Amino acid sequence: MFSSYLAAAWRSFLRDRLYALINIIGLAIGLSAALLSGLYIHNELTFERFLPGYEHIYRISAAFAPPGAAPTPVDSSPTDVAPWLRGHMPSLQAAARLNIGTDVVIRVGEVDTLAHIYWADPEFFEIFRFPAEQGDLLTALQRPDGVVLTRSAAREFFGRDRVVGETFLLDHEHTMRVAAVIQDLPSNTHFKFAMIGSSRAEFCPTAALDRAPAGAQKPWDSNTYFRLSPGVTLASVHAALDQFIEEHRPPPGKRTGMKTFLPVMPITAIHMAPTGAAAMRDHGSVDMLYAIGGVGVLILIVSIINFVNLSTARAARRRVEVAVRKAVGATRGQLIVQFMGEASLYAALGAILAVCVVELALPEFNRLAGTDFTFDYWQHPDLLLWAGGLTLLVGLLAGAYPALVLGSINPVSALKGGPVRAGGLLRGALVTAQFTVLIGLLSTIIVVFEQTSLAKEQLGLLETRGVFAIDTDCREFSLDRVRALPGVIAAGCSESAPVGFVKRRSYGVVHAGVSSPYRREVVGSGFFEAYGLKPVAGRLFSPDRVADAQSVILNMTAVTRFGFASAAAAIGEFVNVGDDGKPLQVLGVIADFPLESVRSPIEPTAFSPGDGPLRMMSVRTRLGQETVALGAIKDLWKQVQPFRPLSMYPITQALQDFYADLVAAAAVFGACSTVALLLACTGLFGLTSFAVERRTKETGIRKAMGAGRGDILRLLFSQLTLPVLEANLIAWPICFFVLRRWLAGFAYHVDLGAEVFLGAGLAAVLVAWVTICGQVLRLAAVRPVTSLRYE
Amino acid sequence: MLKLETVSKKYRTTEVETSALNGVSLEIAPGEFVAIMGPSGCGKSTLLNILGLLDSPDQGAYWFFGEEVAKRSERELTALRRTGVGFIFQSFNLIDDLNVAENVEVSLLYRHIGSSDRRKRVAAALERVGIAHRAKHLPHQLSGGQQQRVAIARALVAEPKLILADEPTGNLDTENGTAVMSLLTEINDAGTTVIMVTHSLVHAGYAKRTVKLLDGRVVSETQLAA
Repeated sequence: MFSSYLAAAWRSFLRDRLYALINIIGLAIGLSAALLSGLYIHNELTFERFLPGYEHIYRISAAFAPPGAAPTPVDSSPTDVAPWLRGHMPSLQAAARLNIGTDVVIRVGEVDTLAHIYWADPEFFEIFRFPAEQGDLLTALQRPDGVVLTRSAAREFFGRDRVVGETFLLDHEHTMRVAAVIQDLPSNTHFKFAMIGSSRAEFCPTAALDRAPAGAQKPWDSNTYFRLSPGVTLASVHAALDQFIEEHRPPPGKRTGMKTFLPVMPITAIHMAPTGAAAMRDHGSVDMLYAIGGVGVLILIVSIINFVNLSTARAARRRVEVAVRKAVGATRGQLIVQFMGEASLYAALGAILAVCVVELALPEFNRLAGTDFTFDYWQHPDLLLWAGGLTLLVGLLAGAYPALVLGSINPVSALKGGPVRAGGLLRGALVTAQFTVLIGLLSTIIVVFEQTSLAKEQLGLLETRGVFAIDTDCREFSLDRVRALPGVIAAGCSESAPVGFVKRRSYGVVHAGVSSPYRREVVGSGFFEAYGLKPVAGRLFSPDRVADAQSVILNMTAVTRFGFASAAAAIGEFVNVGDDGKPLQVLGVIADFPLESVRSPIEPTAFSPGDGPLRMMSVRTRLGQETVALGAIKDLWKQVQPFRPLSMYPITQALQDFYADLVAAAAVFGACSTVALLLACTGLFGLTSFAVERRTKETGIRKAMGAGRGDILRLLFSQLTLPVLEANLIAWPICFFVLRRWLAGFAYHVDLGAEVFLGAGLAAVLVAWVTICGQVLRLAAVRPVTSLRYE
Repeated sequence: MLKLETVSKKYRTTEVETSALNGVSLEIAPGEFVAIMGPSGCGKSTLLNILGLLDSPDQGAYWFFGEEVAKRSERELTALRRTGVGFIFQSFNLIDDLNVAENVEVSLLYRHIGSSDRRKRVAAALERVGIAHRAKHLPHQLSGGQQQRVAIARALVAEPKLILADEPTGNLDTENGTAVMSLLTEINDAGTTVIMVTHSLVHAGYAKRTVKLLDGRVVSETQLAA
C-alpha cells in the first residue's frame, strides 16, 4: 500500500513541479524563521549554563534608594563584600570579586596593543570553572603577576595559542606572566573579558582599595560572586549580607537616609533581570524574547497556512485518484494517512532546505544581531531531535486540513466532476493580511531610507572626506607640527566636537535680558577650518590673536534664540556664555550642523576656546595624499608619544553613530520585508492556483459567449488584485499613524507624504501581478474547447 | 448559410492520434433546425465545436454565413462568435458564483451594450423562458430543468443567428426535456438557425433534418416532412 502512496506522491510531485517547489520553499522559509528564532531564544535562555555547576553560583549586586524613592539597581557591588564574606562565612565554598578594570597598553616584544584588563581574586576561577586550554586556573591568579587570557587575546598579543609562562609588559611598567589560557567566551554569558589579572597585583585598583583604611568611602566597582557549598542555605547568606550592611552604615551623624540593598541572584537569572548601572554588557529582555519568538511562530503559521492553501487548491487534481481509491475500498482514515504522509514528506524536504538556509544565513544573522550562534547539530543530536520534531509537527499541521478535505470527497460527485469547496474566503482574507504586512514594511523602508538620507544630508554640511580624528591631549601633541606635515591642509582641536560625547549645557541670561538654554563646545583654532566650515558672518578663531581666547563663535540657532536680528548684528556683541556665564564677545557665526544623533534638535551652541582639556584633534588631509599624511602623522606620533599606541580613525566612522540606529532599522526591516514578500507571493500564488483551478471552466463559458483574451485577463487581474487593494486600504492608515509616531522621535524628519504609501501600494500591486501573471496568462490563452472539456 | 467542405479534425496525445472528423461536408440553410445524432465518440461534439467557432478544422473549408473561417485566428473567431453564436450545453455550464440574471448577462457583456439596455434584454429573455421569478437565485438553488432554461435564455439573449445545443436534454427528465425542446422550436420558428446534438430519437423529431455521424463521417441525412 505504501509503495502505491509513494508512487502517487512522487508522480504528483513531478507533475506539478513548480507547485511542489513553491510549497517546499514556503515551508523552508517558515522553518528557517522558526529555527533562527529558536536559536535566539535558546541562546537567551541558556545564559551561563556552559559553566560547570552554574546552579550553585550566585551574584551579589547592589541597589540604593533615596528616602521615598524606588531602589536603583547597580550590577556591581561594594569592593569589601567578598573579603568580608570570606571572613564571616567560611562555610561558603568560595567568594570572589571581578573588578570592572582599566584600559592598558600591552607590550609584547616591540609591539604595543591597547587592551582592557579586568582584575579578579584568585578564588574567581574556583567559582567559575571556565574551559581551560592550557594552564591551571585554580592557581592562575595566586601570584600577583598572574594573568589569564582568552585564546583570541593570546593570538592578538602573541600571535599563537600556547603562551602559558610567557611574559609581557603592562603600561610599560609591570611585567606580567600568562598563567592560563581559556577558550573564548560564548555569546550567552554576562562576562565580556578577554584578559583577567590577579587582584593581588599591587598596582591594580582592587589592591589599592584593599589597602585603604577601614571606614573609607569605597566605590561600588566590583562584581561579587559566590559558590554555595552543600548544606549552606541562601537564607544564611542573606542574613550575613544584612549584617554587612549594618556594619558598614555611616556613623549616625553622617546618615542621609539613603538605603542600601545587596540583592542576591543566581547567575542564570542575571541576563533576564533589568540592566543595572555598571553592567558589563546589556541584559536581554523578556519582551524581546516574546517578540522574536512571536515573529518566528507567526512566520511559521503563515507558511503552514500557505501550504494548506496550495494543497487544497490542487486537491481538485487529485480527487479522481481519491474517488477511485475510495471506490475500491480505501477508508477515509487510510486516505488521511496518505495525504498527511505526503505533507510530512514535503515538510521534510522543506526542513532540509531550511537547515541549508540557516547555515548560510547564520553568519549574517550573527553579524546583525551581534551574536555567535552556531547550528552544530552534528555535535548536539538533541538539536536534530528538536528540528525533526518540529518538522513532523509542521507536516501534520499542514497535512491535516488538505487530508480532511480530500478524505471527505464524495466519490460519486468527484468522478462526475463536482466541485471541491475549501475556504475561499479564508484564503482571500489571508492574502489580504499578508499584503497588509508587506505594504506596511515597504512604506516603513521607504521612510527609513528617506530619513537616513536626510540625516546624511545634514551631516553633509561638514566636509568630512579626508578628515581624521586623533584621540590625544592637544597640549602634548603639537598642533603646529601636525599642520606642517606633508598632505595636511588644516588641523584643529576640540574637547569632543563634532562627535559630541562631552555635553556641557547651561541656562542663563545670555544677552540683553534674553534667557536661553545653550550648549557649550570647547574648540581651538583651526577646528572649523578642518571641516571646511566658513563663517556666515565675522571670522573664525586665529591662533595668532591672544584676545580670541575671550571670544565666542555662535551657530545660527544661537543667533536666533539669543535675540539677534541677523548673524551680522551679533558680531561684536557680548553674550554670557563663558565659564560660569562670563561675557564673551561674538567673533563669528557659522551654519548649524549636528553634534549628536539626528534624533536630537540642533541646540543653540556657543563655541569658545575656554579652558577645558582638548582631547580630540581633527586633521584635514589633501584628497589623494591621505596615505602620505597618515604616514607622517604616525612618524611624528612615535617621536612624541613613544609608549602610547596611536588611536586615529576617519571622522566619518565616528559620525556614523549619529544615524547608526537608522541603518540598523533599515537592515532589520529589509530582512523582514524579504520574508514577508516571499510569503505574500506564495500566498497569492496559492490563491491564483485555486482561482485558476476553479475558473478554468468559467473561462471557457465566457469565451464561448464571446469574451476575448483581453476580457478574461482584465477579469482575472482585477479580481486577483482586489485583495492587494484591500490590503492597501488597511495598511495605509495604520502605517500613517505608526510612522508619524516614529518620525516624531526625530528633531528633523522627512514629511510623510502620499508618495510613500502610493509607492508601497504600487510596489505591492506590481509584485502581485508578477506573481499571478504566469498562471493567469496561461489560463486566458487556453482555447474554450479545452477549458470546457476541463474536469 | 453554413457550409462545411471535407472538414477533418484529429486529436493527438503523445502516443495516440484520434480522428474525430473525417472529410465531413455539410450545408445548413439559415433558419434550419438540424439534429446531429450518432454513438459516443463519433465526432458530434467536435462538429458542433467547429460549427460554433470554438475549434478550427485541421483540413477542409468552413463558410460561416458567407465568410471562410477555417484558418481564422482565435481573435477573429471570438469576434464572430460574439455576434453570431449562442451555446447550450448538456451540463448547463452556468457560472457558480453568478446569479441567474448575471449568468444570462454574461452573453451581453462582451458586446458593448449599455447596462440599462442589458438589464432590459436579460429580463425579456428570462421572461421568454419562464424563469424571471428566479432571477436572483444562484445556479445551485435551481433544478436541472430550470438551470437549462437559464442556459437557453443566455444563448438567445444576444439574438444570435445560430444557436448550438450540445445534448440540451441529456441531463433532464422527460417533462423538462419536452419543455426545453418546445423552447428550441419556438426560437427556431422565430428565424434562428438551431443545430442540436442529441441521443434521443424523440427529441430529434423536433428538428427538420437529422444528420447521422459514425466514426467521423456523415452516414445519412433524413429530411423530415414539414
